[in-house]
Amino acid sequence: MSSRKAAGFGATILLVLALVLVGLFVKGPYILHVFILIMMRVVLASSLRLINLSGQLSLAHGGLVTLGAYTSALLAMKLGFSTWLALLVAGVLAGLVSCLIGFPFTRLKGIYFTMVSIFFVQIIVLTVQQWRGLTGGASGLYNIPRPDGFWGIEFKSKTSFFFLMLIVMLASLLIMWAIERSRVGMTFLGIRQADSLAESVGINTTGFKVLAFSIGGFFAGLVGGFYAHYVSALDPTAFGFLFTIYILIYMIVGGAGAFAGPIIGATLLTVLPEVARPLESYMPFVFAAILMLIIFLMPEGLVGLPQRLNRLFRKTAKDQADVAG
Amino acid sequence: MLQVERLTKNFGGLAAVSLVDMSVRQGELVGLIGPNGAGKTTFFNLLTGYIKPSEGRVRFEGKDITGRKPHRIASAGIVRSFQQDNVFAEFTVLDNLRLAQHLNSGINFWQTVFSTGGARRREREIRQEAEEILELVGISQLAGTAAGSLPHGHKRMLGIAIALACRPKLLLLDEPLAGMNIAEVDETIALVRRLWENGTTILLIEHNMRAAMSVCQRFCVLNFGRKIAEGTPDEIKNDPEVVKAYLGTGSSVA
Repeated sequence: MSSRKAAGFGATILLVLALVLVGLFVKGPYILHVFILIMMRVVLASSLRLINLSGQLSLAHGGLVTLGAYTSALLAMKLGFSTWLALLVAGVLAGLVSCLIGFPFTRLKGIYFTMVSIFFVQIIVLTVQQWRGLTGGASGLYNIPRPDGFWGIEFKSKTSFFFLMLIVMLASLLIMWAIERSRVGMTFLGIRQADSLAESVGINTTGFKVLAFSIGGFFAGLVGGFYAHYVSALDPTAFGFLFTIYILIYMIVGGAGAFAGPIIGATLLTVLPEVARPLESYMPFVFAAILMLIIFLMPEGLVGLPQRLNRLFRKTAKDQADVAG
Repeated sequence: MLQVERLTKNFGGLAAVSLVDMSVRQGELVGLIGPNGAGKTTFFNLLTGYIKPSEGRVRFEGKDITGRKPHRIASAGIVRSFQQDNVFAEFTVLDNLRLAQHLNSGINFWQTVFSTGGARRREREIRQEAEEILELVGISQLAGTAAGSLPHGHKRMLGIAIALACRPKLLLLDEPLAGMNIAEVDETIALVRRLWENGTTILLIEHNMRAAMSVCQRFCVLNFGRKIAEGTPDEIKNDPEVVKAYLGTGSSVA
């Protein structure tokens, strides 16, 4: 166990170092952009998993990302907020909205919760489309200010955004990791396993479910805000229904049961469409096929692959030994 | 300690529990018995807030707790065990009890997330207390086992241990003996008696009459949602209404 922990720790350090090296030495804007996308999606898929720890499968993420993106952009553009403050407010607002909708939503369980959470995405997207005076409607927003520079750092190059997103991702993952291994994470898992029993030992299950949903919402809003200032343009359909489903697919394909799952899923499934550009228009089909294969063949997700291979090898070795014997 | 007045629950036209009055005094061990479908578990669900009563009042230590949410009733001091889904299956036995000490953990969100010195110290105490409870219930050897893989009898014992970890003032046990083998029944009965002797007030639903008769001081008998009798084991055994409910006619309760 402790050797596995040490291995995990070592792997994390190596990965972070590798990412720093990428940031320092890779200059191709396209490669850096892909890395930035990966990191954004890692945070989103991981925050979806955090909500899922408490037994709720949320599909509200697209709406919360949109909310965060527009909040941060509009605060900076119309009210002249510092971009950093706007970014923070975007996260907090998305968290607050999650908290508000969380109370009625979490009264529903299982698939019913998931269904109402989808409607939330549609409500946000439609609101943004219709509220032309504020959001620019379907034509969207452009010339969103880049993050304010400080200490002589200017946020113009891809490299600067790469490092900014790297810091955001590492901080977010660290917080989510700390929550998961704390008593709060344990309580989430307990509620998922037996919510009546959890209630009977005095756990306010509604409160904890809303808490999980709000923390997840905060990170979704934060990533949305980052995107707005990074791309500098927004349109209302950027984070709609399909986007939300993709986040879900990242989590499940990687493995919802492990912390590394969404990280692996988001990484591989962001790289895949980039290397398979000719198949671009078929990507939803490809993703659906991958999702179904994973669900049928290895429901624990790609994180379970090493263990499966290990077992397979041992089994073949044993079979051969049996044949020889 | 516990006063129940005219407690009623109607499901559509069916009165699952109807106008039940009863009380439990501090330090008592009371049995709640009755044939299948008499409304015993519904009665527990009403006491603990899982179902809202159609009518009637539940008072605990003088406070009206009727219709409160289950977690608030637990924090008032009434804790129950369950017949099904009675453990956190993916956790180890020890972690089941660590989580069950939620109410008296006294650790807030920031302390646990930042794993402060105070929180770590408190977690050590909680772990120790969990081990003591396992000792008391007699399943310490299972501390590291996943709760979901326990045999039925041990799961039941763990269910009781989880309720105990909340330090209940009033412990409600819902058929703790169901499905246990003879040795486990004896062990559990001994445990219930020990808990009671240590000062826990207990209300016990049980089908195993011989076992229930051997521990309870007083009984309350339900049939078709109504209370049909109340009294000492001897009074109950010879009550014609009770005999009729269990056997139809004649002879005494076995």
